[in-house]
Amino acid sequence: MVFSSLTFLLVFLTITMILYYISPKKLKNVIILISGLLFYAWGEPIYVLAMIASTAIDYTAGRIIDKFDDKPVVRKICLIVSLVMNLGLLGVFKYSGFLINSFNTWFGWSIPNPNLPLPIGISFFTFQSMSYTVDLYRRKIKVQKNAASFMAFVTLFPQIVAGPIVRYEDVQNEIDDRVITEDMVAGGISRLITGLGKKVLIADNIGILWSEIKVMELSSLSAATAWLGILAFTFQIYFDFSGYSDMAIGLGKMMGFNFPENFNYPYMSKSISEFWRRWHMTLGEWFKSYVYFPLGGSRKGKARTVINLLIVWTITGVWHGAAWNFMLWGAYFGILIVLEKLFLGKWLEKIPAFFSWFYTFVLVVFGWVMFDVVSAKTYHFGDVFGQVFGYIGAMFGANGVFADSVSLNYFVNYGIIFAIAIFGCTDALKIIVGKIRDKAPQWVQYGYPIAQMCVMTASIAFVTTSTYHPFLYFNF
Amino acid sequence: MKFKMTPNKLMIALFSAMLVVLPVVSIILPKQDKSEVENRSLQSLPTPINSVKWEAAKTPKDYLDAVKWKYINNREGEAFRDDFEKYLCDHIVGRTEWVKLCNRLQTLSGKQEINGVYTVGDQMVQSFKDYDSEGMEKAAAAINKFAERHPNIKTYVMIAPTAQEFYGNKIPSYAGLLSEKAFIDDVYKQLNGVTTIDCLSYLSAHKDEYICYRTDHHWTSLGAFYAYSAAAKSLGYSAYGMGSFNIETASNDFRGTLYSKNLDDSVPADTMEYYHLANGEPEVTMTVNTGTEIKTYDSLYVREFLDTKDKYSSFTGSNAPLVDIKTNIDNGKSILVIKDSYAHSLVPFLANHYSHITMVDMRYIQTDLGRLVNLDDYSQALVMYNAITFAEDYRNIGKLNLTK
Repeated sequence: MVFSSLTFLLVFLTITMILYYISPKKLKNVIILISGLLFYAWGEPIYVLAMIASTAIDYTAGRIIDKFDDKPVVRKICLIVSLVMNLGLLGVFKYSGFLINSFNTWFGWSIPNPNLPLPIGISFFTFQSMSYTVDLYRRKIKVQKNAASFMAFVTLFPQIVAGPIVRYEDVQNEIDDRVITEDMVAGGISRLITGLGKKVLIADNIGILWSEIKVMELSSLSAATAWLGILAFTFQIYFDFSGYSDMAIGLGKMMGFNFPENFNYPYMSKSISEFWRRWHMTLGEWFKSYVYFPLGGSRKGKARTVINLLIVWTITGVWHGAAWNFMLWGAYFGILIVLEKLFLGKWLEKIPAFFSWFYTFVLVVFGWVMFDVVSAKTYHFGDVFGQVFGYIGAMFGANGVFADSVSLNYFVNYGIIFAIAIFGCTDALKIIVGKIRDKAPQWVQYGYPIAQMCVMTASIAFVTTSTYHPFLYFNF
Repeated sequence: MKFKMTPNKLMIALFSAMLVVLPVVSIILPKQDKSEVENRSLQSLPTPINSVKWEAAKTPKDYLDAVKWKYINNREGEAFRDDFEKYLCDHIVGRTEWVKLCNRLQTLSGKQEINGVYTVGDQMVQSFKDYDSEGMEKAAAAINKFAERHPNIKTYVMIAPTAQEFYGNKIPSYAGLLSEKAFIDDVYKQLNGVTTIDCLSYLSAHKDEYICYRTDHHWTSLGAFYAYSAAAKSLGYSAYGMGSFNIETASNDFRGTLYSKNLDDSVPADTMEYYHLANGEPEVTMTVNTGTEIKTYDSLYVREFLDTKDKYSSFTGSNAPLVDIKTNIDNGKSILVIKDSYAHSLVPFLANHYSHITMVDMRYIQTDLGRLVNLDDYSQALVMYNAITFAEDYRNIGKLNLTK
């Protein structure tokens, strides 16, 4: 189920929240569990079983690890079983078809492709439940003996399909004992609406621009059109993804959970390293804790640090999708971060802030070219590079036209949305709202919930209109 | 303890109200099956269970078999979850108002085109941005073929411009609108052995008059009157002047197809007019064959449509594969009109000069036209489309090729 649908907003959320608030404390986790399973099964009625199986195995592994606290071998076996199962699920569903197709293309083999569909959110829930067994193995957390509570942690619907990646450690206290205050509920609602607005009003609208430019003949793109297109995607992916995280965090708050933050104005960053500390923060944390540090991090000398960084970033890339361009995208950031660690970082601190911001933003935008212009089923590296450089070429006028009526038309039609998006990428609004809340008189404060309701109303209007299809041919 | 309102409480109250009131009111209010403004059936409440099997079920396996698993599980194509979402969107209380709000917000955000429609002042304009030139050539070739195979029928082609041609100059040129005049000229150049009728320059001379509906993609009866005058010489009748008609106002609150697309209430509703010959209209018998039923009328105006949203259909009835009109004008002139709905408001004028008019709609015809009508009955054939439908509907026009 997606948050930006009437099914979620007007049916699922209404019913779940009423049941959640009226049920006694002991039953609240059961409500979370059932609603989470329904939420997931709405989109994945079959693979919900895979999720249940994976949760059951992690729960059991956790109990055994706890029980045989003094038997290292048993503990290790349980950990390995959990890792193999979770990574196995990811490998089979997410990467097998891609690898088979790649090998078939490269070597002319004909391994049959099972063409498995990708279960929604599999990259998220496997990472979440792995964090539990690993942390338990490391004795960082206490075991969860209540099966329903553990299941509730995995199926907690706000974060189940697109993050933030909530680790067991983050909610271990709240899962069994949480208080829901009026501040949390009101703050959660506000956060939910902020996220909904970001997704429905900004991301989806500016995304239309990119979807149109993306399918245009590459050789027909003027430089301005190419820039408008990829900038539209730059904003679309930020508002879509961070909007989703906002909604998850807000829903969590309404239910008494404090999820970790996931985005912190990434487009204001002044280096690539900083960008990745502000973009999809829970994923970065996850890779740091479970891949980078176990590899030795930066404690084993310069050469090893460089290698570790490249490994982590390449994996981060392919986590985003089973395709070579995602690996390229990850490796690209790995290389930039290595360069910043070696010498670039020091320079960036010395030059005026505008230039370090500009450097970061432009390189991130090039990253989005790698991320999104390569067509599906491109298995040859040459083709991947060809498509990426083809688009970057168009951005620098390879087609000989700087701007044309197409780019002007888009600029006029989308200028205001771009302006709103640019403003929304900065923390200006947050500062302004904060100032008003601190200093303005009480009656002005009432404007805030009213403004948020306007955003909610507008969002419902856009969601409803997505099915408005006047029969175009009628009356001929 | 006394209740005290705070911004937090207000937030919770408003949000809860919205989440409860919207679904509850939507459930209580009676549901519509059809949307007039969208001219389509609305999504009915989907069910993931085959009720016949469910009621007959005895064992647990029977119950499992009664569930439409594929419908629930589909990732592409028809899926229960998508139909359910459509159902909610189609039946939410005040659906049309939500859509209006969305469209207004889009306009405010600088979008000039909503669902393919521009609003320039008080005039809605359908945009014409690209077309398949190969398809256009094929359609023209099919018309040529038709004329060549039927030397006894004199074939005419009249392509009408739409509002864009007259009022599109107010839309910035970077929007990339095409010139309908250039398109029509291009089509006419492809035609051989047929007579082309230029109604564009005639209409252009009157573009300051009310020749196009403001909220509908058709021409008004006045626009059709000018086209009727423009075609007189070629078709060989002497057109009546404006003074010969009594003009009846059929409706003052017509909101047409373009309104359905953008729901822009700022453009005033249209007036729809019928032109009756002052000194006695010919008697007519109109037979409308919808493919499923045949209805006969003694007027070219089907007034029951005036009570619906689809008022334009009152001109010769709604789109039907075949409409046959016999008049009491005893001049033996007969014409076959191969057309889109622009012809519906033109034909009442032609009826003053022909004893027999047959309208065919190529969208519904999959075979040799000669099997449907007796081609020997006609001395003239008029291919009458507006530029946009001619460009979009080339495949159906191309079916004239099938005519032996």
